[in-house]
Formats: sequence, structure tokens, C-alpha cells
Amino acid sequence: MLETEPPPSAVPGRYDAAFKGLAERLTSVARRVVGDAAEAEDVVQEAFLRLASDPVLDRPADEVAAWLNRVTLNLAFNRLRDTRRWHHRAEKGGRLHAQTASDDPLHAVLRSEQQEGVRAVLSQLPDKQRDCLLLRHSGYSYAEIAATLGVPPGSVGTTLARAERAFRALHEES
Amino acid sequence: MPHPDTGTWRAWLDDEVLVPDADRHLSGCLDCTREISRLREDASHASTALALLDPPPAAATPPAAAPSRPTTTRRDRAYRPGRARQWVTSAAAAVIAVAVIGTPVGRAAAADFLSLFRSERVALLAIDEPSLLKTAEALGQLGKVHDVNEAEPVEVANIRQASARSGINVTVPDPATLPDGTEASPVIRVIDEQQLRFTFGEADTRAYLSQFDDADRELPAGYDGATLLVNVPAAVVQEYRGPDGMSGVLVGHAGTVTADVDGDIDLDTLRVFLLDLPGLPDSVTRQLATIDDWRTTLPIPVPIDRVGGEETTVDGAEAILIQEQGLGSGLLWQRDGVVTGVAGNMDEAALRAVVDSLRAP
Repeated sequence: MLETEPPPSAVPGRYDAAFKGLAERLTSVARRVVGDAAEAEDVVQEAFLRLASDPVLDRPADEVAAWLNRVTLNLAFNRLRDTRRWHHRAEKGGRLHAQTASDDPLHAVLRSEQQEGVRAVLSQLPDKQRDCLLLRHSGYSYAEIAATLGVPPGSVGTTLARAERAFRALHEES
Repeated sequence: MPHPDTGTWRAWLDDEVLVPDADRHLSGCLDCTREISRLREDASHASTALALLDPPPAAATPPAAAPSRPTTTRRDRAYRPGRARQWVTSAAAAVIAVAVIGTPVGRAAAADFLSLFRSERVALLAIDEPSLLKTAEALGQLGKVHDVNEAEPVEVANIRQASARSGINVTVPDPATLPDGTEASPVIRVIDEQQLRFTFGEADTRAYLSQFDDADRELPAGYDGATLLVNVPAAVVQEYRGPDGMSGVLVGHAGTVTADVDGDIDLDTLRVFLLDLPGLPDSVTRQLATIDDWRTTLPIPVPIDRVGGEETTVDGAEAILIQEQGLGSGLLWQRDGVVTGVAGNMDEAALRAVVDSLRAP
């Protein structure tokens, strides 16, 4: 469950239903991007707050879900970009040190480096490929991906194949 | 038939499109076969890398931790790390654990469907997690499972005790071949033999078929009430801990899986019927159908959405090599009635050095 839910009174009924059905899934995807549970929840909450004042709310549920997927991914990648800028500045200023919260600091640092490598490669892909790759490998169907990207379902296979090939090439280079 | 384009093949791999006569085309088209192989490798790489972004099991906060997986009870049974898997830290090692000691659903999936035989060889069954769950769920609806008592791993003091309890002549690696810092004395666990019984029911099966508007499908004679008996053999797992206290190297041994049917139906008829059922992932049935000597070949499910797998050999025996970039590798093979698996956070060459050093203690 999210710790901070948006005000249900903002959009009664529809809002609650959409929220319950989608928030958990979106939070998991956002967490893959931003790397932190609380920050992922913030991202999803912001997406839902935007939804509350967006005309798409009057559209069918699948369009609402696609809109939320799109906005959540954009917000998450924006936040990732901002965080990396901050890290860059912090490293230059000598303020950043290794996280040692884990019982196994060496393992945590190695894992953290691997995760940063994956996120860096994701950020290099064209947006459509990046989103397609992330959604597919987070369990979204081709129909859901097509709706999110605003492309015909028949083109998802091509985008996904290109995304996976590019991702692998960049990741192996890195 | 014209060559389907790359996007179509990619969607076909995910069971998102139908490609008419795909098998016939692939059997005669080397280009498309290669393309599919590359697509599989690319997808596997991406899936494995993206899975790194999920929190590690200890830090996971279910249920939101698994974005892609259905939150069904069956899923939980299959993939929540149980006591047997808590000490398994690398995905490659987990695959070996799934194959050698198994999870309930992993075993059930293999046993219900794949194992109507005496295992003398191993073959790779490339399967992603949704397909494995889909297969297990479909088969579970055809009847009733009885007497499943999940054997817990029991720690024993030494290899001699492990061999005596399991009936397997357990071999051990030369400590000199283990990665630097690995403890020379393993933690040894034995999982006792179990039998799984599954009785097929006509009513259950028709209810299942009715989901596909196929309730009137002809069932083979003797199907109703036939019981599949699967002996899941005892297994021994040696865990050589690494310098960080995590599993450094895992060595597993298991006996021969055997299966038989109690009832008036033969295994071949039952197998043909099961493979033809609607609702099973094409990618699974297609691979199984191509195993000619199915009575002696144990298909090892390898989660291609998490790791890469390929068929190879170990000292002449057919083997499966599982590799995950940056996380380690595993080898699994069968010889003289014993399936052996070795996995660790090392590359293939280092792994093979460990494998080659296995000797009786």
C-alpha cells in the first residue's frame, strides 16, 4: 500500500477504482527507474494528482491506464535524471559516500553499481524503446504497451526487438 | 511462406501473435532460426539486467516488489523464496535449485506434465515465468493432487551421512578449484525422496476445456480416474560459502525421476492428449513435442526471462549451461542415474574446473 494516498474526494468513485487497480503496479515500475520505494510512491502519487485535473479522466479505463503509465514513466525518468545530476554535483563536492545500510556493504555497493549501469543504458535509449522495454519486462501486455506509447499493437514487437537489441549492445559495451 | 519480420517473430515468442506454419518454416529456414535465437538472447539479457533493479529478496516489501508477476497463490508457492531457497543468492544457483531440489510448483509442473518416464538425459526447456505459471495452473485444473508432503531440507554432518540418507554416491569438488576465499567445508543438506500423485478427472477436465469452448473434446479411454505417480528423488546440496557469507558455490545431486500411470491408459496416449490441450503456452508444447525420446529425457525448465541457457556437454554427457552476466553460471547434467548441478558466482571456465574436480570423498 502507498503510505500517502491522494485525496479520494478529488475524483470520487472512478479515481478510487483507478488508483487501487493501478497504483501498486505503477509503483513497482517506477521503483525500477528511481531505485527507491518512497520516491516511487511520490512519483505515482504525482501522476494520480495530475490525473485528477486531466480531461483524460472522462475517457475509458484503458485510456486512463495508458495515460497514467505514460505520465508515471516520464515523471520517473525525469526524477532519475535530476537525481543523477545531484549525485554528479555531490560527488564533485566530496559529499557522497557509499551506502552502508546493508548487512553486506560490499554486495550492496556492487549491486548499486550494476543498477546504475542498467539505468544509464536505459536512459540512452529513445523514449519509445525505453518505455516499451521497461513495460514489457515488467509484465505489461502488447496491447497495454501499444496504448501507452500511442502506437498500433502490431508495431510493439518491432519496437521491443529493437529496444532489446540496442539495450544489450549498450549494456555489454558499458 | 515469406519470412516473417523481426517484430513478428518477437511477438510470436511472447505468444502475442500467431504465425501460421511457424514450425514448418523454422525447420527449413536457418535465417529465421538464427534470428529467433538472437531475439531470445536479447530478451533474456534485458530481462536479467532489469531484474537487477528490483530490491533484493531480503529487502523486498511484498506484494509490490514483483511488478510483472501475478499475485496468485500459485505464484507465491512457485517463486517466494522458501526455506530451501533462502540461502540461494544468485539467480544461476536458484535455477539449479529449482531443477535439482525444486519448488512445489516447479516440481508439479515437471511431474504433472513432463516426466512420464525414467530420466536418463537432460534437455533444456526454455520457459519464461508467466509460461511456467500458465502451464502449472492449466494442468492443476485437470484433476486432483494427493499426498503432497513437501520435504524440507535436513542438514547433515558430513558427506557420508548425506550419501547414506539419499542413496546417492555424492561427489565433492577439489577445494583448490573453488574461488578464493570460499570455505572448504560445505553446509550439506538432504531432501528426502517424495512421491507425487495426481488423478485426472473427467469433470475437472471438461470444466477446464469449457473455458475454451471445447468441453465436448473426446477424452482418451481410461483417462477419468487415471493416476499419475511421480517419484521425485532424494537430493543432496552442498553449499560452499563465499568470503561474504553468501553462497559461493553450490553442488547438487539428485536421483532419477520416474513416473508411471495407475489406470487403464498408457503414458504415450496421456502425453499426446496433454500436449494438445488448449490454454498451454505454444512455446512450451512446441518444445516438448520435439523431444522424441521423451521417456528418457528430463526437460529442465530454464527461466529464459531471467537467465541465458544453452545445451552443452560435461565429459561427454549432455548438459545444460546456465549463465547470467555478472551473477554467475551453472552446469547441470545426468550420468548413471544421477543428475548433478554445480553453480556459483564465476565464469564458465572456473565453473568447469570445479566440475572436472568432482570426486568421491
